[in-house]
Amino acid sequence: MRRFSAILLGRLARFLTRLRGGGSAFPGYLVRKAWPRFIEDVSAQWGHGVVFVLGSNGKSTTTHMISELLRAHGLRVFTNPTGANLPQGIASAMLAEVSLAGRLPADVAVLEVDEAFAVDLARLLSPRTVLMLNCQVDQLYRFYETERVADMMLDAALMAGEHIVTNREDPLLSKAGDRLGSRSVPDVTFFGVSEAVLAASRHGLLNAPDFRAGSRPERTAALAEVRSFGGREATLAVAGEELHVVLPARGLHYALDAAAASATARLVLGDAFDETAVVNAFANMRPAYGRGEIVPFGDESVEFIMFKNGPSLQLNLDSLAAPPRQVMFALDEGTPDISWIYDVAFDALDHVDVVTGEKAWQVALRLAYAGVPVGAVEPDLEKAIELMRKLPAPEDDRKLWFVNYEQMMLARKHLGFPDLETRL
Amino acid sequence: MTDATARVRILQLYPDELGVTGDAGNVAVLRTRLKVSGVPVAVEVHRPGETLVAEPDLVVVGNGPLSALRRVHDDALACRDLIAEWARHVPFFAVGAGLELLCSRIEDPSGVLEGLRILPDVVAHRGRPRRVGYVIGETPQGQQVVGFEDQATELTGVETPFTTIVRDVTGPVSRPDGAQTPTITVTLLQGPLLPLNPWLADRLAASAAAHAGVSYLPHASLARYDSLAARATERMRAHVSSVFTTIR
Repeated sequence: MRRFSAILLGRLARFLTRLRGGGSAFPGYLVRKAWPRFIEDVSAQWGHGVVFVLGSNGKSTTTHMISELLRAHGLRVFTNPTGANLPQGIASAMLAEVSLAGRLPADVAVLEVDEAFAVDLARLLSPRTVLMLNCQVDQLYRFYETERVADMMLDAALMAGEHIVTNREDPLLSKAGDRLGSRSVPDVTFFGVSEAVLAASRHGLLNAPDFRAGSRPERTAALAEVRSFGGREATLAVAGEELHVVLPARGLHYALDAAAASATARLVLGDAFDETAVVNAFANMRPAYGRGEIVPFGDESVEFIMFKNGPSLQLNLDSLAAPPRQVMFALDEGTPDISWIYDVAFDALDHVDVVTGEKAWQVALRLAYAGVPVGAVEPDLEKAIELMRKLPAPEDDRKLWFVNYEQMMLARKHLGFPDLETRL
Repeated sequence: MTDATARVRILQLYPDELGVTGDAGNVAVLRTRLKVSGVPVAVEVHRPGETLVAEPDLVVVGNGPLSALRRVHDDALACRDLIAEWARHVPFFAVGAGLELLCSRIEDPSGVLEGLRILPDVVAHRGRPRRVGYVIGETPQGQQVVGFEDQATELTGVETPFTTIVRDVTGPVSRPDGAQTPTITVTLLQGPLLPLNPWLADRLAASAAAHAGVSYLPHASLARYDSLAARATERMRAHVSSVFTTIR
């Protein structure tokens, strides 16, 4: 009865906060007040357990990929929207799907988790598998040192019930096994990129170096490896089988996310892993919110390319086969420190049409020193969008908008797509 | 490697380890401004294990985490005598951990690291209350500095600070930043600082040129960068108290 009223209360709060517009962690807070073990009790129902997705970049994309791969094998998947990766947010997301009797009909949960809360959430959700994507220089204003972020992820990974899946090419995260000591559980599985593909990339994978340890571990075999790559197509070798997949968005980082997702799905599914189902699932996947997502813009369309730090911006620039015809660059104070913008090489662009957002002049200054011509600097996003609208439609191309998260939300609102990030 | 045609040689120490806050940008801005103004310039780097040879005209050291500082520490100590000799007459510009490396020692809650003693009386105390956000500073000569700080270091033993911070996220303040000697300019401010504060870039470029025996007169075409910098810092000044109110 107490659980029933807890869920009812939380659902009511959820209804009211959504009426007000926007998502909220408040319903999650409320339900956990009334039913303190809400997260633990409900998550215990999932037969294939919980998968955590951790990393500096690519969490949303990879969470979405794993969910789709598992669904393609007939599993019912519970997953969380990007904004909801803290305990209350995850509880709120669970509230949306739980019955009044406290049942959440799913076989497995695939959850992207904020690094800083990964250990706390691991205590609540006892993940069976923890996937670590990468550790890149990210949000130094928040985390101060990259090694701390790696430690947060590694500490959570050690709490996995069965499997750690980690990036062989990441100097910090590839050493997960060293921390296990004599423990044989969880086991450690790698995903990665072939040396040839890595050598052909413009700036590599941009993972943070490990200044603490001396030598790099030997290159071990990966359960899933990117063997070839170009644009949106990639060949993945998964458990010895070569799969030709079409990625939901361009770029080596997406190919590597696909390898990570395939390795994780292989571990969750075991021998039930079916290569044809995987290839089909990738072919039908939509890009995650704002990550190569295409949104109508009058008679034209806009491709949103979201970045939050130097590595994600660089990897997206590196994914361009030719300089795009029309580019807007939008960055505001939602990204407080942009010192790293001087570490990004902009040679993939031959111009930027409009620079916008509160930090527009800082970006324009960087682009000037990088030698990239800028058409207009207009800090007001709405006015900038109108400038982009006035440009003639590019013939064999679409308008590319590089945006930070906050500017993407505002831009969507202005284009008439004010939807919040939801599960796909 | 030395470029024979270059008149001004800029040496960046440990770019891979101490270069996490756009420090390459500071070097690129110096290079651009010298080049555009007709002064041939070469940028050289020193990595751990390499040999330092010819005396440069300007030494730049960037910022990085403590782990990176530890990583370069042995190499830096091995080069100490030569670097100290240079510092008597070669201009130096260092930011964050690069600044700390030039101090007499670096005190951290986890222990003490010996510094290069280029600033023999200055001690860097890490692990002090963290400061994050835009800042406005004023130098003793009256120039305004606008940058971004993300640091938890306090310096003791500084005779002349580089600048006095007069405004940060908390409102009006008065606290010293960095240190300034006739040849050495060190700061905890990033942004990076030189594109945002062209007067400082020009001062360093002029010192480097003077060391090389040439004169540096900023070319008129640099105004296009400087007007962008003026607009950028105008916004930063307007947002100084709003971008960050607290940091966890």
